[in-house]
Amino acid sequence: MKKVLIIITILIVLILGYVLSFPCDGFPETTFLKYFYNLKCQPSKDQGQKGSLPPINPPGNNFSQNNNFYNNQGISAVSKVKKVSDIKVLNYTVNKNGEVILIDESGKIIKKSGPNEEIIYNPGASFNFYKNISFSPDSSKIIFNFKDSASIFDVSSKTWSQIKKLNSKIAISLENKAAYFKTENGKNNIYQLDLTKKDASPTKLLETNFLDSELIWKDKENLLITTKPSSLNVNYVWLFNVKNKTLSVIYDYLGLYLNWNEEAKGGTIFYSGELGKGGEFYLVAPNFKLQKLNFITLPSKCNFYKPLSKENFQSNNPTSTNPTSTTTSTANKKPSEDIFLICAVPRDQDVLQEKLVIDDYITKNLYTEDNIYKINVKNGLTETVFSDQNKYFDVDKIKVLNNKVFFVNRFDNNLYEIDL
Amino acid sequence: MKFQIKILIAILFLSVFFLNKLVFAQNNSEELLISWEALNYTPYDFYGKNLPSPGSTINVGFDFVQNGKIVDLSQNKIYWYINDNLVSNDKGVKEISFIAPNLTERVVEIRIELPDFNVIKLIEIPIVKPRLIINAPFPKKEINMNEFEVSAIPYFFNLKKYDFDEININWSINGIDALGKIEDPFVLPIKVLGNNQTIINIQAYAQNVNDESETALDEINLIFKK
Repeated sequence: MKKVLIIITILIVLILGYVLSFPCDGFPETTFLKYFYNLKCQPSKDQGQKGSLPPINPPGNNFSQNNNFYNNQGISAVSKVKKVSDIKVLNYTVNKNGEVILIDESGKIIKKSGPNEEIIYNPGASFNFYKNISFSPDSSKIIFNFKDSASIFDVSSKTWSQIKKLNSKIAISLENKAAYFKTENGKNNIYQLDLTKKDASPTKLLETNFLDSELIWKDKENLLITTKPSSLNVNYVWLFNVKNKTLSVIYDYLGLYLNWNEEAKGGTIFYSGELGKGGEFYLVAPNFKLQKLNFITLPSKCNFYKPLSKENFQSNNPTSTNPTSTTTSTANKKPSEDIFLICAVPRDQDVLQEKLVIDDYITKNLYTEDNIYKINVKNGLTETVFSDQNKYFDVDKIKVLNNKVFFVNRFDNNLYEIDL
Repeated sequence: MKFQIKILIAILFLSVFFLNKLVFAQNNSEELLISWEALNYTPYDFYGKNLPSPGSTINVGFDFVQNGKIVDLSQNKIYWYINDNLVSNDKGVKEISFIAPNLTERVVEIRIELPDFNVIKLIEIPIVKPRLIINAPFPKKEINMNEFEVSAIPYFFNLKKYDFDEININWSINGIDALGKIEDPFVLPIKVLGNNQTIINIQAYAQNVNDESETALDEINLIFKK
């Protein structure tokens, strides 16, 4: 009898251990197991003060030399900052071949490969102001979001398609699936459109009354629904499971502003302090747990990347000194296991505590002068990428590809790059 | 059956019962997902939230989520309160519109009650003045060029056609009236004579031509330094 008891106990322990050993990302979708998923993966209400990364010292000071995290790989980034183009850009992307595609202030779409620039679309006098411009993650499509419609430009075929009656900008997933709000009969419904199929029809995913909201792909099965950011409003993040059509509340904070990177399976979040002033900045894990960072910046000033190994980087970098590097193929690239967060951080942290950070920044009442740091997400080790006090960059639209940091400097709207 | 086996079975049953309770509790969540929008003017590239100023139309909508699914409320009474005043208690009304009040209060409280589900939720919508920002993208607000431009950007004005023509803009430099560009009065060209270090005070004042009470002012100091 005792043996039976022992066997049953062991079995229960094994089953529990097995269930709890699933990673949050790959947890089974069984209803019964949701408890275990929630137990393991859902964020707790008191999150926010967990862990911390090395502090960035008060304004005017760089990291002190006795700080082990200071510049520990000897990066001297000052000489590596390079202006990519004198063109004033509205937005840009970089494809995996290292080609930069940028949209200038007159609406021209320009492809830049090394020193060569090619205008691939010129709107001429028909240029109209776009509400915003975004890109598919693979840079194959450019989305021009107008107030109530969007035009999608296919970079390779140079053809246009259009989505009408939009009520949000379009979010495009890694699998090239578009998601957006569409106004119909007084409702704002969530639609999905497969951009990989030429004649695909949009599919209605959910009928909602959500107003003034945006969609972000968390992963291939989940959309994040967020409020447009403001320091003075209690903004939310809701999670919508596209497969099960279920909704849940993730965050609900004053001045919340989220940025998510589907590829890195992580994000950054800012939320305001009392009365909307100042705030706190967090790293967001795939399960939405938050890890506080000891500096304030805006999510638009940070992005993730997985560095290429040195060998792969050299063989794939067209500007490499390696004489054999004639290809720009990425087929053999192997990202390292480490994930880094590249963040531009305002040098004057104190002034932010007195500002409605999001509102003042977005309305151009606030410009910042930034340093750039590289933070290892796993262990918090931080390196300085750029901290030249004689140069001034207000970093916006930061992206990292092929071991280079790209950003638009809000002081001159030019595109810059820094080698990592 | 032996006593131990009975105990074991009882423990297993209790475990399953409590586990199910917990699973049920996790899935039995109820949430009112409330969102709102304010209809007023912001520039084409503004990606923040339009905040209502007095006179802006505000739309508020919600969905009630139970066990992750949106509930059909077409047959349920929904109570809407604005600043504690009942404005609707009809069945199935999931969206209301109203005009933002003046700034006697800094927020408007919206309360939604679903008595059939014993659910109440309250949100606050901030009311702000229209804003005018002098856009001067110069590091440390220092400038070393003798000729340069700044621009004024209006936010949250209640315009009829959402057109710049509906806003009058007036400029002054160091207290003296100045003129914006003829082709774009929202851009102010500035010319500094000489190379001495000086502080340039710039003021901009905007007024809605449709509603003269709707105004906004901004002021900055730039340091001219060669």
